Amino acid sequence: MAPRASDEIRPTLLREVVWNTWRRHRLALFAMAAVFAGDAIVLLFTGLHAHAVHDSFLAHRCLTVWNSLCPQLLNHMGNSTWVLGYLPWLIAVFLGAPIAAREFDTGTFRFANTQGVSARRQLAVTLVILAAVVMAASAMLGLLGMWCQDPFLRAGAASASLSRWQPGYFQITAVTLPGWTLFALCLGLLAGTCIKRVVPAMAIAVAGLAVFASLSTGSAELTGWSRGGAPPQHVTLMHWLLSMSPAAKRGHTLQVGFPLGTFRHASDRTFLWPAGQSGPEESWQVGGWLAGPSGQRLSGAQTRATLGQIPLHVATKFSGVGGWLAARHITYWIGYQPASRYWPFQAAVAAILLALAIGAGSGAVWLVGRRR
Amino acid sequence: MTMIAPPGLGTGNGPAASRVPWHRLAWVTWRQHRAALAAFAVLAGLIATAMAATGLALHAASLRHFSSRSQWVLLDDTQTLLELTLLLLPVLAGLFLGAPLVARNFETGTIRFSWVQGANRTKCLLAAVALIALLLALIAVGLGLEFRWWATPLLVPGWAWRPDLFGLNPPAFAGWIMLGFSLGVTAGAAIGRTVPAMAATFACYPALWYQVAARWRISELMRLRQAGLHSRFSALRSGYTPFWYLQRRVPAWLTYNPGGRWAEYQWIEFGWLIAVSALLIAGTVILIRRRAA
Repeated sequence: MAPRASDEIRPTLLREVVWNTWRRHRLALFAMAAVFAGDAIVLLFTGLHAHAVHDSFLAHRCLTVWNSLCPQLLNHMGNSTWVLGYLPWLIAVFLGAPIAAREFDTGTFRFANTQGVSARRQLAVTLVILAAVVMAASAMLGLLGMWCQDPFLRAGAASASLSRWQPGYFQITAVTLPGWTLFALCLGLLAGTCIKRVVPAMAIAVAGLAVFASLSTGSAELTGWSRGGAPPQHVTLMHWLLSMSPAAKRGHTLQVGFPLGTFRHASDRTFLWPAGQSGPEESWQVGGWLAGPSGQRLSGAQTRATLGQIPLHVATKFSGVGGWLAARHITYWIGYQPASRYWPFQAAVAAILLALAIGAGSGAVWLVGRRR
Repeated sequence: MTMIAPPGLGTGNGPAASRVPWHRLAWVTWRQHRAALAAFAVLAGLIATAMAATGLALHAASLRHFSSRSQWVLLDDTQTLLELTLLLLPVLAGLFLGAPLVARNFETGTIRFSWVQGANRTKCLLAAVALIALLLALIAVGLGLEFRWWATPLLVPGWAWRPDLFGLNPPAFAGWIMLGFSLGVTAGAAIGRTVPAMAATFACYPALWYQVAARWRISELMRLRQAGLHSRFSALRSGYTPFWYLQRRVPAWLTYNPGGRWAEYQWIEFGWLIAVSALLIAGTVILIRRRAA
């Protein structure tokens, strides 16, 4: 029996589509490879230097005795996050946006979309190949970055309130960085498919990523400030995620200068011991509240009313507030995420970014099939 | 259809070149780049509005010495975001206005039409560059002045000397935005393709800015005119604090620039940035004059 035509054509087409993808995007892939290699070299040298300085940091007993040399050593360990932080932006602008937009911009889609392989399949294969390359490279850079930052965080956690939970570190690990780069790639592709012109698509990709990054990890708490000096409402997605089902323990000291009402401490920017709190090592404080004599949690208004009764001479005295509250059987509680939840949260963030990337990528593939 | 340009046409040698008035070319420039210019103006407007809103609120609060932590949070966030956005503005000008200015014409082949019109290619380029550069300079000066108004009551005295903020003051900021734009134009003319030209601009500008801000300005430029002062205080050196010097009665020399020279250095920076930008544009003119239509 003679073989059916489809049995021979399918593998041939797949190979050709892969080859075609490489031919069309080889310049961008070479450029990205150069960027990734440059980043890796920077991280490698920074990491070697940071580990050497960390040995000196330990030799000077900076973990226990804070002498005048320690801040300089800590500084010299450096902060290499900027090397990884701009990768998603580059990928969205220079790799994602031109994939489909260039075809429309130059008019070659009239030729490319009338070949044996449908436009949707061409774009899907292109996206899968580029996504695999970008994710693999980002994961390796993420690993290198974690190794590079490790001494800085280990030293800083003891002395300068640095934490791996902080957004600057949380978002560039080997788990979350591939999620960000994939999402950026798909967002750029979607912008290009919608707008069909390269330069405007690049601009929209930058703007879209800026808005998303700001809402998820950045300065979105500005919105809460305008309510007549009310405490900042931390509306970032990362804070919302990290606030889910926190563990609770009795707080050590209450500081009046911190936001009242909701009693959310600056959870996305401070380590577990910001206000003299003590807790499990490497855990992350996400909130604080007052509990009444019967253990019930006080509302924002009740909290403000209670703290408003504290006399000034008590409030200004060290640990005076704690004693004043204890005399009235009011306790201060803090909510925190234990260190054991760090990697599950990393996986959750990566899963959210992956889902968003799949949504954006699918949208782009669906849209390109509708274009005539 | 094939069009053949007669020798001399479009290179500035023909009499037709002088016939097209500049204001007509300004209108053509506006028509060609109105979307990018409008988008840039909207971005600048958003930054200016955000700066005005937060500035008014923070200035009023700072008079009461920031009574709540939320005001510190606002200051911290706004300052970070503002500085970052303003520092990125010259790069954005280079990427989205400079790089496509010539490269898009090469890429789409419209040079075969646009370079054989009444105005020669040099005149077309200079008209486009001058108009866009003028608009960018106005935006830069406006935002620079507003940033000075925003930052002066909030930041520590002497903030305007800080390496990262020195270039955000009006004269220097106008110079940097000119440089970013010119760099994009030159990269576009040299490479002839928009996206690679944008990538080249993105690679070059931050590296240049960092070299100038972090190293060259402090180590070279600001040593042009500095005073000497006998002082017991010295910079920290290998872990020794000024107390170490005081204990041992070691007199240390400190060199500094008086605050009055800040404006002078601003204009020096503006001058060399404009000179480099002019050289880049001159290089672009040479590049496009040598290119066959």
